[in-house]
Amino acid sequence: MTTHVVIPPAPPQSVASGKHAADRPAPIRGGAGGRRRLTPTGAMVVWAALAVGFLAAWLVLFAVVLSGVQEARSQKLAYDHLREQLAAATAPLGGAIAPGTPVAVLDAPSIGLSTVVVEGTSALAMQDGPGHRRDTVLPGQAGVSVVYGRSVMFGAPFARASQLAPGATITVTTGQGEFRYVVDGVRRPGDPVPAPPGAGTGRLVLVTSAGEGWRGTLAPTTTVFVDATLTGATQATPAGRPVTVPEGERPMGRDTASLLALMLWLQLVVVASIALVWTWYRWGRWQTWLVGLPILLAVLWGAAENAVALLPNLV
Amino acid sequence: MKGPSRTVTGLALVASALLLGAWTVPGASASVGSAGVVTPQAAPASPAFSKTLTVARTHLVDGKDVTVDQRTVTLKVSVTTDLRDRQGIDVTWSGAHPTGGILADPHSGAAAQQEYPMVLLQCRGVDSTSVAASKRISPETCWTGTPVERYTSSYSPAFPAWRVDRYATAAERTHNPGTPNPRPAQCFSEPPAERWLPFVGADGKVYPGGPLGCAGIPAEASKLDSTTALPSNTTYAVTGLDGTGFARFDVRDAINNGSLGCSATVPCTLVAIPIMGIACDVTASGLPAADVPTGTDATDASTECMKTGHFKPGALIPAAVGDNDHAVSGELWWSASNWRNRISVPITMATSLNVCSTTATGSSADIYGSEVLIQATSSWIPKFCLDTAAVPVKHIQTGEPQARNLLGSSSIEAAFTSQARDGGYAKPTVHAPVAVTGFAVTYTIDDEHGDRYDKLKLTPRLLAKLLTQSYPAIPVIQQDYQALSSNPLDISLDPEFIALNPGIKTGVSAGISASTIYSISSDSDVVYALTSYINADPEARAWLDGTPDPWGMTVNPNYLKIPLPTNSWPLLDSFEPKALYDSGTNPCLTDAPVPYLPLVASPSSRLSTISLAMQYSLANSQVVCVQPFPGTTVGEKLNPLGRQSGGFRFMLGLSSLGDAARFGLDSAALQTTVTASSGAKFTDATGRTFVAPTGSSLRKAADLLTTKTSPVDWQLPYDTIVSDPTGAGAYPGTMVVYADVPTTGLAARDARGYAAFLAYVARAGQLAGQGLGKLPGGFLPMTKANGLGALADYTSRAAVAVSDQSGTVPPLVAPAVVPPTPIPTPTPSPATGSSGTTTPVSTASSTAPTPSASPTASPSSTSPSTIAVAAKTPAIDAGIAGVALPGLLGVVALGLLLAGITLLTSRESA
Repeated sequence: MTTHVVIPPAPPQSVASGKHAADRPAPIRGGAGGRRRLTPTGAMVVWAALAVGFLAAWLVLFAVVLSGVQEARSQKLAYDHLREQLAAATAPLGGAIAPGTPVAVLDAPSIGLSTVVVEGTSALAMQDGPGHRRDTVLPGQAGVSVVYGRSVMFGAPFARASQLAPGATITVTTGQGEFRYVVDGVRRPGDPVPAPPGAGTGRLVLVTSAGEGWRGTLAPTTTVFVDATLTGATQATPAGRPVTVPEGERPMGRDTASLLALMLWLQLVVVASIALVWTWYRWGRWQTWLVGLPILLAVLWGAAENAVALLPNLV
Repeated sequence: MKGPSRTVTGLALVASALLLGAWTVPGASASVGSAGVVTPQAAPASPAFSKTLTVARTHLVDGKDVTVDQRTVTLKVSVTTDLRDRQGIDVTWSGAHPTGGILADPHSGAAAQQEYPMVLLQCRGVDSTSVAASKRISPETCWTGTPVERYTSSYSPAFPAWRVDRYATAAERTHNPGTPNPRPAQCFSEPPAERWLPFVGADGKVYPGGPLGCAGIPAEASKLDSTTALPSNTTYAVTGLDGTGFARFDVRDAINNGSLGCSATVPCTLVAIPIMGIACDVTASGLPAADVPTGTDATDASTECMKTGHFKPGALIPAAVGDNDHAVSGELWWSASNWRNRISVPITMATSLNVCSTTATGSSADIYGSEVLIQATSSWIPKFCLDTAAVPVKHIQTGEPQARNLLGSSSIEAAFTSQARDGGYAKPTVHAPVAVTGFAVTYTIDDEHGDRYDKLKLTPRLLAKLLTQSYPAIPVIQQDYQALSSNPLDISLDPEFIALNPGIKTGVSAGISASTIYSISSDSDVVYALTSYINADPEARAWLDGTPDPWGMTVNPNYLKIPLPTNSWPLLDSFEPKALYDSGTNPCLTDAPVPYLPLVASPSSRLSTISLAMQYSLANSQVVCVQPFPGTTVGEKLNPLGRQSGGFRFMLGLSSLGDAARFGLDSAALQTTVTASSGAKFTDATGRTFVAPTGSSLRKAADLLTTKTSPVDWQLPYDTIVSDPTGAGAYPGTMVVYADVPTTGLAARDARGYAAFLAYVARAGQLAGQGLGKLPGGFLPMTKANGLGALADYTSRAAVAVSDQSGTVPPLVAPAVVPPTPIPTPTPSPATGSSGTTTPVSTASSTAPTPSASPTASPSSTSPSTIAVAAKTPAIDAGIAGVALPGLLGVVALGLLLAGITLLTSRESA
């Protein structure tokens, strides 16, 4: 690579086409007209900057758009799973529930929300949908039940949760039946915490993140709580709930458990990139496109999925 | 969100428990702090009941009153309210006619034959003419254990004393009052005169009784006196030559005796009848001709009725039974002449623990362990199950080490224990003191006159001798077992025992029982406390290590140098007396020889069993061979010795102070410090301090408790007690009982239950008294006045930690906190109803006068979590990760920018 010819296969920059790699010191049009060639250092800088930019852009694309696709699929599977369990009356009712297990269907018609809630509030678990905090009772049981939801990534199920008006209805279906909650109000930092529910009453607290102003959409920085009170009778609470959850499952917690997976995925990205460059020269451009693109997308997807787990669970 | 809400709930519950407690104190704060009545010896100065009655025996002769005997009897009863099953209450009297023809067992039916006894009976109903007849006492509602006490017959004379009773009604003077009609065929042939006194059960069922109970007796009665069953509480007590007497009457509740049926809702009466003899009226004017004795009948009747006693006062009844004068015997306690002389003592039973099984709903908060706590918990716990808002609490008795192990493996949620667990628990767990009580070495011993001995003194060395099976118990062992051949046969022959306890016959007939102490076989902190005490005593330790005592008695070699303290006492002796086994006198042991001395020891796995045995002197040594088919081995079995005869009793046992106080067991004074020369023989207690369990001796032990901060624990310094002058007055059997409850991992409801229980026990549960929820006898209240304020405060804080379930164990010293302002929660959302301070508590607290909560709202119940009550929604910042996505966009822009700039600036011409 010490030669003066360094041409990575970056499609946007390829304006020329040729049968042979030898054709290409890629002609790049410069400002003052005329054909110019980059110095080797310059070319390296350009490609490096573009590669980094590409990866960053990919991450953003994944976080905002593609993760939603993944969540939609997870939701579909979770819904099917839960529906079957509800029909068979085998849905989890309490006690120790494995994280990631679908536990409830949550509907808030006034904001067009209908989603499957999974157990656990780690950033990874919440890639499948809103998460139910493991140290609280399930919805419909006496006490406070807390559900976290994302507001940006993975379909942003709770993006509009803060628009829930007092009096709005939230319906939750669990293995113990269907429960109707009435929203008490939206709580932001500094607002007083309501008194704990009395014996035999239940409360649902939706937690998500929100930001202010221009960066609100992409960079929510604080938490928002929606309190809702159960109407009707509570159901029994099976014992055995965890009494505390790790830091990563609290509001704005991050899942560092994904670091190892992320490292492995990044290695795959590197390996795949090198392999593709190699095939580009040895095999041919179109063959590489055909075979390489799915591979590249797959490893990038995997890497991105684990990378965004490092972001707060409410985002 | 989560944390504060839990804290508020917890505090509310703790507060409710405190309120609940406050309700139990109707201005009884005077009793706080003073040491409770710990032992029966420390009987209250003023009896609960006292009555003086003049009784007379006045015959009606030729229409004129002839008074032959008149006495003024004063009867006192120690306690009459909130009685619990089998509780021993002291009855003393003076002025009664001295008893003659005395029988050993005053509870047996045969004891009714005594002349001039004081008859004590438990009767259902009240002695008042202002209540309905069905709720009034009568002889029909008075309990007796055998039918012979309710039936009498006579062939000759045809007019026995009861037929010429001047106070009897005409119907009672017929030849067969009370006889069922038709007379049951199975009841032998009809004698010329018979009297049936049926028993009317609590359910209204009538048990006619009859000879040998042929016509039906209550399930709790037995046809004949039994030596294995619990004796009846009916007492034919002996009045001494000076007219005074004493009896410990044990009341029975409806669970123990359903036919009698005394309970918190069914009032009962203790009836004391000083037998004076029948007031006779042979003339019987106005009665039908058949009921008027004539001729020789009249002479016989007059002679028979006017008899004044066959035996001299104080004389024992000889073997030939039947010589007694019926007219003055206890057999006719129901006759009108005797019944009218009764002294009725109204008694009320406490609410029984049994109410919990019927009223409790939902799962209970179960606490395993400590048997020494049972009397306190059976008073505290009904308080929780009678309160519908509270979580019911259950105390499941096990040995403390077992409870600790179960808690360590998370098989149970809470344990009562008296030691901190070795190595602590995996989960954060509070070790909160709930009671100060202890073990008692109880005894049932009759002195050389056959009277109750009540001042027993024991040294740790004597306890070690009993535990190590160093007394040979039977002569065969003494002869053949080389190691024990020079030891006294039993403790009554031990010079050390004789020196300390003069007045007890040396060489008692109950020798087997006198060579052991009825102890506990399972792992127990009681054994640990007892062996700690023995181990600390230099004399006892030296003796265990092989030094003979001053009289030459040596330790059983199987126990030589036994390491102490220990949780469970091993049965190590292995000697089988061949001569005895080969002789065939005990076929069970001939057929299946086993070591003998462990059979003598025969410990029990439960302290309550020992207490029962001590109350009724049921010797447990399993040395009696019972063959269902004599001469064959089929079904043969070693049985316990069984009940000891009155006047010849000798038993020692290991009990709890709570049991000793409730059942009226005598507790030995234990040696503390010794100033006498330790190697020398002694002939009296000089130079040795003996301390009986009393309020003040427990109080002194409490002063000595050493505090450990990590883990928090209070320990009794046995070395100080046995060697330091400051420990001289401290009772060495003192034990602190703790509740070990994890502060993480409990279900919310259970955590609430345990927290409420701890909060209650820390305050209101420490008020001494007889009532429901109070601290019964045998326990030293954990109060500031008793120097135990720190223990109660710690338990209050532990209650908050248990309620919070946040995994923290409160430190010994409360952190300095903002004074507890009972902050009412702002309650922004009316929809959610209750708040931390208005949680619906119970019907109990709603009746409580509001100011009563103040004494319990002490600063000690505060914790830092109080402050979090009026919480605000926290601002949880996502931190730098929150701006990751815009940051990434920035990176994209930067990359493009960099690439662009480079493209523009760095180029070489073609």
